[in-house]
Amino acid sequence: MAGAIEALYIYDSQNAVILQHNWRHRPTASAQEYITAYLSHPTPRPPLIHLSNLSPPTLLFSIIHNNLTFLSPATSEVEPLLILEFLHRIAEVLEDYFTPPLIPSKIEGNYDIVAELLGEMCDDGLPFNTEPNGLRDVVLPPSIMKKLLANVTLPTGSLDPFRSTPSTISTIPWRRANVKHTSNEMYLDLLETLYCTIAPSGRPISARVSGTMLFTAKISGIPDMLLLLRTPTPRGGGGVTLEAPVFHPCVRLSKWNSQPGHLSFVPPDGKFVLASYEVNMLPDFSPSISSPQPFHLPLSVTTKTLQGPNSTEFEVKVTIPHSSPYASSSNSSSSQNSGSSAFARIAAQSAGSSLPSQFLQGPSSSAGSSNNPVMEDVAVHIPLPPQVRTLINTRASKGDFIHDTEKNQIRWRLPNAAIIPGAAYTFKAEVVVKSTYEDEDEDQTSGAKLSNYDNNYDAGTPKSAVNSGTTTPGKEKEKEKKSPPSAQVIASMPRSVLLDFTIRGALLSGLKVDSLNIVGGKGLPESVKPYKGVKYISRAGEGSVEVRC
Amino acid sequence: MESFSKISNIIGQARDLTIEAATSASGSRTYGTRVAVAPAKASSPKEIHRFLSSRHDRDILDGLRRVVSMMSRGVDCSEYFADVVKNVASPTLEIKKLVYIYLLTYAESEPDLALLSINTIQKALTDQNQVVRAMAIRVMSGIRVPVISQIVALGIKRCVTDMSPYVRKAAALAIPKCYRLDPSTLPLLTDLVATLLGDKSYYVIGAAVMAWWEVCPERIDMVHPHYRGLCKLLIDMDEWGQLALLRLLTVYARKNFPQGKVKTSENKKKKTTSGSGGFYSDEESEDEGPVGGIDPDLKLLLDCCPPLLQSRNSAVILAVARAYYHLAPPSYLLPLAPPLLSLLRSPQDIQLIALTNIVFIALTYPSIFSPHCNHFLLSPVDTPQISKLKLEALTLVYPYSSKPHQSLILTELSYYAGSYDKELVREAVKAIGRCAQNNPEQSGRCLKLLMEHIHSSDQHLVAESLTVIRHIIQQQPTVHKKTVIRLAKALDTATSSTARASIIWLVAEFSGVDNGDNVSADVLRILAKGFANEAEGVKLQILLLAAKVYAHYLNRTNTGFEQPLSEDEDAPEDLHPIPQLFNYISRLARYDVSYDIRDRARTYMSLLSTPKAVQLATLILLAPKPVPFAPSPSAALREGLTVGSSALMVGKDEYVRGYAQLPDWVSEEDAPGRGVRDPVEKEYGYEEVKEVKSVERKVDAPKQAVPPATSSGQTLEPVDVASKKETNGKTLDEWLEDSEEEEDDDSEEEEEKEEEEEESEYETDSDEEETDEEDVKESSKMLPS
Repeated sequence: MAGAIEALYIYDSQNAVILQHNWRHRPTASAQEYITAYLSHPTPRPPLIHLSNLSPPTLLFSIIHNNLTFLSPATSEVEPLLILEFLHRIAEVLEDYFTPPLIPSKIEGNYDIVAELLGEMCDDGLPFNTEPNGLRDVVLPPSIMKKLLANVTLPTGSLDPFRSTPSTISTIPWRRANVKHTSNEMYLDLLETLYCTIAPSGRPISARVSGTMLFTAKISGIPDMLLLLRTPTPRGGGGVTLEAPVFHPCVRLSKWNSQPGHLSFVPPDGKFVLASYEVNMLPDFSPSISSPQPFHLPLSVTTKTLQGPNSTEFEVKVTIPHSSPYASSSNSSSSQNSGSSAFARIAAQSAGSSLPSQFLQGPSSSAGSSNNPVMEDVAVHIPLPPQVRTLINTRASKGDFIHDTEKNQIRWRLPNAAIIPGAAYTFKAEVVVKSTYEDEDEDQTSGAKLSNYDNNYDAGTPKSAVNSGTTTPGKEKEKEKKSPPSAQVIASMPRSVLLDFTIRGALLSGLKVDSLNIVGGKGLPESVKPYKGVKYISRAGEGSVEVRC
Repeated sequence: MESFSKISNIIGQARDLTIEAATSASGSRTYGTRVAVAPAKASSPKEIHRFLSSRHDRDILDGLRRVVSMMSRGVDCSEYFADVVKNVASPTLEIKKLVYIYLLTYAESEPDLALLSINTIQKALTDQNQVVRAMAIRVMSGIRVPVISQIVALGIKRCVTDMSPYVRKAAALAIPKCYRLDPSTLPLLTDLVATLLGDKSYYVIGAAVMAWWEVCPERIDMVHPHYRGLCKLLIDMDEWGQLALLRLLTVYARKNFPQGKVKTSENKKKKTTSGSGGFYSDEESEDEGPVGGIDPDLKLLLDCCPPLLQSRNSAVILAVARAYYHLAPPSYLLPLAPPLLSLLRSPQDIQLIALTNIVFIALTYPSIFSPHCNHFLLSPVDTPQISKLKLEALTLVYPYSSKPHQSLILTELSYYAGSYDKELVREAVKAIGRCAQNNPEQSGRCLKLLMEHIHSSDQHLVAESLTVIRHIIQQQPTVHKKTVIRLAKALDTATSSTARASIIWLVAEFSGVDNGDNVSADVLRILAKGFANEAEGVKLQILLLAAKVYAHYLNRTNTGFEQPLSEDEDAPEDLHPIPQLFNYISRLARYDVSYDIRDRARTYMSLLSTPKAVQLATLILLAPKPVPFAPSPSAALREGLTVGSSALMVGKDEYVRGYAQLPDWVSEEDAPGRGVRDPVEKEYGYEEVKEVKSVERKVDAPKQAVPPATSSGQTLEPVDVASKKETNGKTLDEWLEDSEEEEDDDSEEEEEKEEEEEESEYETDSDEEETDEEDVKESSKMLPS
């Protein structure tokens, strides 16, 4: 029950070891053996593997970060999440030091700093100091290190100015001491991901939004901030509540618990995740179709299967609602640029003025800001059943598509300029069913035999449409013309489509930032007015929105 | 919480980053060769020696970086020991750090040379810079040379009283290292741990608790005076400290607070699991129940935990869940569900572990997750392992969900059953089966869903569905008679042999209902035609069906109270179709290619040859079958393990080294009195409260327990205690009444057996009881003052 982190091994995408660090481990196997044992499991590989064949039996923990595999063996019981959280923390700290993304060459070029960091983060297997800011007080980041190396042409003793720097350690564990910035700025990025399943009827089965607040603080001294969030209460009462929030340790929980929506904190210096939360978009779920739908997708996606003369076609239609608040204006060029200029950066003009006026009503022409949200990167993924051999006559009324045979799915992307209110685009394709289907032979024999006594029972579904014997798709189609679609064709229709989109400038939950102010602290002169920026992004992707056919 | 880089990727210039990654990945080989690999391989030991012996810091630093690079790559660098270590006295912090890193790895292999550096490191313990001091103690304790253990112990002793909390923290972490170096230093180290446990800085406490775990985990008595302080400091510590402390407090609570009250609530829990939707009633009864009766100190711990549920560290959330699961009455567990489910927003590795634990908790307390069941609906991104766990969670919460949710769960399960993934299909169908079994009222609905699948073209799905259908029907045979007939019809279309075998077996089981007036004989007649073409498994079932039908027939004709069939009177017995069918099939079977079928055919024929032997045949063939019960997959695998442990993930089948069960609850008699937890000095307790305030952070729950600081330590706390003791007293009175009655019964028995010998002991028992009662009265008298 000691809970020690024994060692760390990092492997690159070719599974070659690029770093090994040992805190208290007496290795039970070589770095190569660990990765072999890990790779022997099929993907997705479990984060915890028990290697009972080693002596002593070893628990092997793993995370994958940016194609790098982090392994940590342990020879006795330990809380799995402790190890995994720590591994994630290491990856984060390394990224913080060497700028993301973390790639092997950055580790290989800075082994000394990595070794110092690992020694500081964990002492003899026990976590010591894992806050990026706290580490910066003790371990010099590579930029300063380089400067240091450039300076040390002078003989011994010339390093004293650097030596004294880390001796002051901040009293706030998550904020380093003596923060100084020439330009004071702070940015808040709110990101929401929609997880949603839509039934064939178009009714949402479940819809949840998972939100994250990313804060970037570049403020001198020790600022004490107050962030006010406004949760909307529309749609006939109820409104949304931020559920299961988790916070960075800097957030004063008592303030939040007494006044939800009020985040009071002294931020770390630099980028950090301030909080995350989720919102249930269907708070009072009822299965009856007649009940009003409180939630709509920002895009409507409909599918039709078993179309065409042979019932082998399917069609996916994406419609941008007329009243869509997210569609770009007709000026398509501006919407395409909006990605880069999406920051609604507003400098506070006077200390007393709170933000909302600038944030919400201020005249801003840039698309993607909170008063002119745009939708981008719309794509539809259509996973195909294994029975489909190939698709023919594929056509899309807009955008380009690929048939990814490895994943066996269609990826259809719409250009950003095409996202205009009221527009509708379709994708059509015809399936060709695999002719050699697994149970073909058995199908035939039993089908023939059972038809003998069809008379005896009123058979549930006639097995007349057995087309497994057909060898060419052409023949098969001829057959189909006469009969209703066979079970195989039905089975070869896509069951669902997955939707991707990004909305810049609005949050699906309707959450808004009311104000963000520095209400106290020290070290920042009254006269300095920091630059403030808020960015809203909503997105769906990687299969988070599923529309069933 | 989602990983930081993932989010920044999404928000920021994701494309730029990928381009950067791509370019540097493609160039990484060359880059790596230039910067890291080349120096490590190309630079000869001589060159490195020259660097390390240089008079210029720059060169030394360069040499050290090369050595450290090689170490990180796993190259053995012990040959540079002397060259590296002679730089230990360098005033440059950067050089020092790298030398220390080297020492930590190689000191063990060169103990004599390492000793030379000790003096310098010892000097560094008095450096003005706290970072240097902390580093010195860390390195000194990390050099695994047993000779220096005394020096290390003294060094730690010095650092434990250091001004800087940073150094004290490093000293705390040095204690276990020193202990492993030389176990004889234990007494001194234990004292140091005790000192550190009373440290006022939340920064140090976490490390002190970690040291306690490593050095003296059995010395639970050391915690007594600090217990309340530790509970209150819990919120302010860093996440790793919280983890160590939660582990400590959980064990402490088990060893010091008697279980009594929790037991009653466990009984209640059983009550609720029996009836569906009993969750709310459970809560009500809990309110009147003895929740207030748990030990106030245990309550203090439980009340200090909720703020931790908003931690960004998933391990902390799970550690709180462990404390609640193993310590708290069920009413405490309700707020646990949302934070646990928030872990499903984490990266996949954390998700999997969180979900395994959620399922484990749901096995005992399914009701707390039932309002949130839509978290368990599958998403297309879920990995197979996660899908499987989610399905299990769905079936567990199903009986406790509201009607709309129940119907949602069933519809979704049915949808998953049509998935492309064979494994998922199997799991989904099994899940439907478990839903039906846990909630028999709804089994009709489940059956209907499964029946839809038996005409599917997917043979896996059909076979799996039928097995589950069979289980459901066996649970309530009378209700599902019609289903059997529909299944018999499905024989026309079903092609999978396992499916056909399943159906035929079911038909055979039902061949006795309604006194033979059922489809079984007819089914037999039809199957007889195609007997030769069936698979072996199906043939066996047909043969069995024939035997069963015939046995029922014999029973009816033999025992006399059968309905006289018209054919019976007209024709000789042999001409009745049933015996003829049986004869026909058994003859076919006798000449089958399979031994098994031939053997069985012979067995059945001889069993049923003489009508006299029919009783034996009935006994063998028509014995009532046990109802199959499919437990939740995790139940057997993980039962009784500790929430949040590796052992829980690995499962019961494998032994995880170092895993220990939580200790059992202490018995009422063995529990130490509350007094042991009173702070040693009053003043100290007051200061502690002040410390919590000065930290200026999110203390909310503790604040309820700890009134505002103005001399509160003395005045308000006793009142608090008094009110609690009163309630305690009441319940104790009740308990005494109860136990007296019980003991009367017991004592009668006892008296009978051991009247002569043990009388005196019994008397002393009752004496003790009286004194107990007096104690309670006394204390309640004293308290209001």
